[in-house]
Amino acid sequence: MPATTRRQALVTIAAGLSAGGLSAQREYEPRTFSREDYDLLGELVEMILPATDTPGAREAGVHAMLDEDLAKDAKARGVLADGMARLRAEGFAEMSEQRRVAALTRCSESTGDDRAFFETLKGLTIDAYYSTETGLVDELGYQGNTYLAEFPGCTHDHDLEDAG
Amino acid sequence: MPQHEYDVVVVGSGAGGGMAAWNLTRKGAKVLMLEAGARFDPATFWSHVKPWEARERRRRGERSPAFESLPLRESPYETPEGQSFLLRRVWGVGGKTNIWGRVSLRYGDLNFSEPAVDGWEIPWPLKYSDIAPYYDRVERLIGVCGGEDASDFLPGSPHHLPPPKLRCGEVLLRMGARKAGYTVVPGRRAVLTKDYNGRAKCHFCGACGRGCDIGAFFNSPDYLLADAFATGNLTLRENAIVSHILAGDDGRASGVRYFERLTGAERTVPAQRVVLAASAVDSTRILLNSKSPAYPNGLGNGADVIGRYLCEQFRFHVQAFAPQLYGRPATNDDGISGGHIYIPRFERPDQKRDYMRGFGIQLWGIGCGSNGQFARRMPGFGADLKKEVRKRYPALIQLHPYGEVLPYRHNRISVEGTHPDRFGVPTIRIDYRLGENEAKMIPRMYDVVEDILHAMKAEPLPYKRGALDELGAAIHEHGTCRMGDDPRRSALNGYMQMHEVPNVFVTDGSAFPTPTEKNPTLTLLALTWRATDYMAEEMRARSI
Repeated sequence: MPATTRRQALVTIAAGLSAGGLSAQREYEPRTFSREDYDLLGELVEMILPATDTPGAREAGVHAMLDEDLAKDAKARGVLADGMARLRAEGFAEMSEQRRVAALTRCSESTGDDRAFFETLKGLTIDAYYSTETGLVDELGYQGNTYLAEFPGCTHDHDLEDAG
Repeated sequence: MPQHEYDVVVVGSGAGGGMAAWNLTRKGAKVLMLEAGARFDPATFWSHVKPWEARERRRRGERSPAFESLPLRESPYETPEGQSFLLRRVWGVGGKTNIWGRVSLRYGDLNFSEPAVDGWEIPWPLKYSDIAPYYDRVERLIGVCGGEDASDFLPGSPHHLPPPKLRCGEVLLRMGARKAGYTVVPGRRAVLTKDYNGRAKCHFCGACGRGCDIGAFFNSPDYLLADAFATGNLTLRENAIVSHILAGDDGRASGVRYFERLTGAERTVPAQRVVLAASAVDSTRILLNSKSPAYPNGLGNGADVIGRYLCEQFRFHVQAFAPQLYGRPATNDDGISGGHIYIPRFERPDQKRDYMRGFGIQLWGIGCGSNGQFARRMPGFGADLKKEVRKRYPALIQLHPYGEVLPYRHNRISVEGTHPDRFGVPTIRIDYRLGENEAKMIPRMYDVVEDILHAMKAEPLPYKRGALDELGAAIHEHGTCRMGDDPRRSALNGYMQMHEVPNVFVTDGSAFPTPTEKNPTLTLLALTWRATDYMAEEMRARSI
């Protein structure tokens, strides 16, 4: 899959020109999280789904989407904010990439609040990222919700009969 | 004597109300239809709005039609402490048919006769042969795609439109299930897979759940109400929240009371005959609230059966991956949205088991979907997770068994002691729990799912054996105003006519004495057609 299709490049430019477009993340002003939490959230969502041959969650604007979506979800907002406060208290900002991965891995393997923080962060990042054109189309290859004259069905039945 | 402008007042405009109005108006009856909500405009459906576009729209302050919010606002429901019930209702013209799942399975003789065989609660007051001609008519009217299969469990139909082709995951599921010894048939869905009766066929955009902008699946406004309006015999009053059916001194229904949603005004319309089809729970609310000296327990409820015996299906979901599809190029798997195949019930009533009734397995959400939610339950994070998600995206398969819940007297909808709505009308409480029979069926359902996964070498996402979806999630409420031959144990006869109040018919899911393992809309349409044929005859004979 190409890192950036020509169409996607045009979409990104267009979004950047329109006020509030998520690709213009430098212009997005967080209204739910503090600026400090918002920036950290951007780094964390990128750790969950990073840039590979397609852009990662931060470039896709996932942290801005969460800032919007959690305005009316005090519970999830609290789980994320509290978790980020604990990471910060551990000196997360100064950690190397490797130690950051270790810290997040520890959260994922723990129980209680740290685990809830990780699951919330991961779940919301997945839902948001794979709802963007970047995540759904460029990364996964989604082709749906379009007009088709006929539905072709599975085009390699024989292949599958052999495999099955 | 009040002047009657209308021959029949129909309450509700979904499958049951729509069919009643369609059949009665074409026979010349003047019908007034009362609908709690307003019309939905298909031009405003977000049928072709992709997920990322939906976000941009919401950011601009636009909203898709709120199909389900009105009843929760106007008539919320309660459950006892520690219990839950997911009640999904659509108030608005067409009701739930605007966004329904479109599964259209005939009930078999097995389904109709089984309560008489196993003796649990009351038998159905009709046989398959009574309803079969009406299934034929309904299928010809609305268009149902499906296969040529026929069995005791799932009677065949000569009227099916061509079934859609299978997605790759469905090819593999079918192979696996057959290898494990289960029958797999083409799904039967009220979706037009070819142009039919002047309507354009489905264009496979996969967004049926947001409403179909071209009406390529059965819905009451396009398929029933449009014809009814064309007769000139139908008058529709929107935003009319019905609260009571009034009874006269002769014990018959004499009128319908409602509140205008937009003005709050209380209105009463005189009625010679009433067809109540406000959905199982809302019809039950109306009947239980319609108390009078003649009917202290609610209209037609001398036998204390209305509100009781609430039953539907319980279900669960298992997601897995078909490794044969790992890393394949993504395909457009929308099809007609939802399953193209189905595993019908296979356990016979006389088969030795430690429970009664049975289950079928629905199979939707196969292949490349419009989200990545399955990734929530994959382990880890980072580039490895992202890579695994892409690899598995085309390989997702899902199994959704639906089990029949027995009707229990204690499972009930009641209005006593509940909060009143803003018009002062009591709302409902839903007290609903599964029993021992269901508890015994659940392990068997998981066994069958595991048999199939094993046979197709699938890799399941983590699941907990025994876990169930929230009760109510099947959205097939039944039993609370049930049909039966015995007036001491049922509220309606086999023509959906109240035993005690002969000029009231109840044509929604509440009339079904058992839920079966199947989806009810096709059967409700057939039952209502039959009931209103009978009703029209009775009107001609001046007996009602």
